[in-house]
Amino acid sequence: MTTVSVGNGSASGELAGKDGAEGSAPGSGLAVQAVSLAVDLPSKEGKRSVLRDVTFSVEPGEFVGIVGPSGSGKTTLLRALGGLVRPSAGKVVIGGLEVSAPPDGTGIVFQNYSSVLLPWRTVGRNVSLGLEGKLPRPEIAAVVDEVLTMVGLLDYKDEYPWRLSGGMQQRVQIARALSLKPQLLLMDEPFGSLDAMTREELQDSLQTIYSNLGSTIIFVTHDIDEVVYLCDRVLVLDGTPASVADMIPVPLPRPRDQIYTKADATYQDVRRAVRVAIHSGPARTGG
Amino acid sequence: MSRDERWSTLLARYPVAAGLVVTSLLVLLWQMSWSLGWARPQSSSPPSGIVAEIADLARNGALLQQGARTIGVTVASWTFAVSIGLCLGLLVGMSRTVRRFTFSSIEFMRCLPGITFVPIILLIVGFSVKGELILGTIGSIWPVLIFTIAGVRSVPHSYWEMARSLQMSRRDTLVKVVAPASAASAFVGMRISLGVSMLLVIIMEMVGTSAGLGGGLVFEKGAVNVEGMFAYLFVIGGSAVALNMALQAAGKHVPWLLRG
Ligand SMILES: Nc1ncnc2c1ncn2[C@@H]1O[C@H](COP(=O)(O)OP(=O)(O)OP(=O)(O)O)[C@@H](O)[C@H]1O
Ligand SMILES: [Mg+2]
Repeated sequence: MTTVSVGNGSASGELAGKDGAEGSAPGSGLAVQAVSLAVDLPSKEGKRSVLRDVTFSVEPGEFVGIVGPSGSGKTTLLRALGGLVRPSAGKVVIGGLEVSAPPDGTGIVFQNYSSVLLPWRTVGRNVSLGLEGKLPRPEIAAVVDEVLTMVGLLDYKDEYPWRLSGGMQQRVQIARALSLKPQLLLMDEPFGSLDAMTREELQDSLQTIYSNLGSTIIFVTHDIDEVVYLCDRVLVLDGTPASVADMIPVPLPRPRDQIYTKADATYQDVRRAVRVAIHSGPARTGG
Repeated sequence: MSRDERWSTLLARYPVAAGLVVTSLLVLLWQMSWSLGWARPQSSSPPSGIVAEIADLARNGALLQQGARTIGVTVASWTFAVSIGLCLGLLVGMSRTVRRFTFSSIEFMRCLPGITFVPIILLIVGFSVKGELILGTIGSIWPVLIFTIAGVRSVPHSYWEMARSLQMSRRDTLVKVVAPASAASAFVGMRISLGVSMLLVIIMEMVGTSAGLGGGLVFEKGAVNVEGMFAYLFVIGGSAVALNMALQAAGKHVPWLLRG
């Protein structure tokens, strides 16, 4: 297993002396373990086994990608990690505790941003949704401003989400997940429906956020370039029911760059390895 | 700008005026039919006569008093119905268990015509404002209840998951996500309920309490005053339209009814 130390060194470039924000201390990520995880979902013919015997572990502060063919169970795996679906066997352990409901310190970014932003609430009040009643108002206002600044949307605080572009809406959702000061971010194809330019831009925003936050990130995508560019390790899911087909390390230095990193020979090698792994998974034999 | 375009911009700017064009033409035709002697059907009267009658009734203060009574009782019973319907609707919509146990009762009650209660109410509470309030409330709970339940049931699954992932409390989920997300549907029910409660209050006035606009209409019938009857008919119609418009205007200020 590769041990990649990320998030620690990269914060040094920041304005270190400026107000000691507590929750955002780098290197405060949660460890994640899936142990013989199985998930059954209802289907027309009773139960369908979607995940079987999924075992892997993610180090605190690690950035792990999950790839696999469409319908292989990536979203289901992420939902199980986030406590939104109950495993039928095995368990998920986050920060040393077995998951049965959405765990503390975990932010989830859903695939379809427009269906999780409330149209009657402004951007700012969508972001504050998870903080209301848990923090005093002035503190909420400060956090909202802070996370909207992180995603570059402070100017749109009082705008309604449906007046923003798709990329901006997804950033609002990311800001909302960040508002919880998550030690673990679970992201389900967050940039899947965006155009290539916006996607690269948000990938780089996410990199910056990651290096400042130091939280663990588990990132589902079906884009091989994206997963290699962003992640420290790539988990390949395959088979019916799906299990871990491969776990591929990405030994590329950070910060990464859209042009130079992607031109790197290592990048190309890893990219090829991921591609091969996806297309030779256990389910694909004998086809 | 051509003449056609000028007309269409004018109509687009004043949609209410545009909507009244056909009605105005019909009224004009009706008036002309009388004035020019094309047709003067018995037991009817020309618009000018009805307008004069309304002015008469308004002058002696009767109309204002009756109108205020009818609208007051309507709005009061509708308010009761909406309060009960919204709360019950959220409860029934949120809980599968409650839904299972109340489903058939609600289904029965909402299909039952409200008028069926008139004799029962007569027997139990007699004809009084109280009876009108009870009937108006019982009869108009159902639309708002049904539409609120439907609203809650159609809250997107993604909203529930979002609320869970943000670790929102049950109360916060209800108040900040589910209720607002059901508001548009509930509001449709509220508008239907308003019409139902006015209908039932006027029926009670007509057959029982002989007060308000319904009472006035029946009184004019007793006096065989055709113009008077038409006068009440239009005043009742106007009140219903005004109430509906007021509710719609109020809805414009509710951010929950905003849709992207
Ligand atoms: N709510 C559900 N109820 C029942 N079955 C489901 C449900 N959601 C997904 N499934 C099934 O589980 C399997 C995996 O679905 P999942 O959404 O996890 O795939 P995915 O890898 O995320 O696909 P994609 O790349 O298209 O998003 C599919 O076969 C799907 O039919
Ligand atoms: Mg998916």
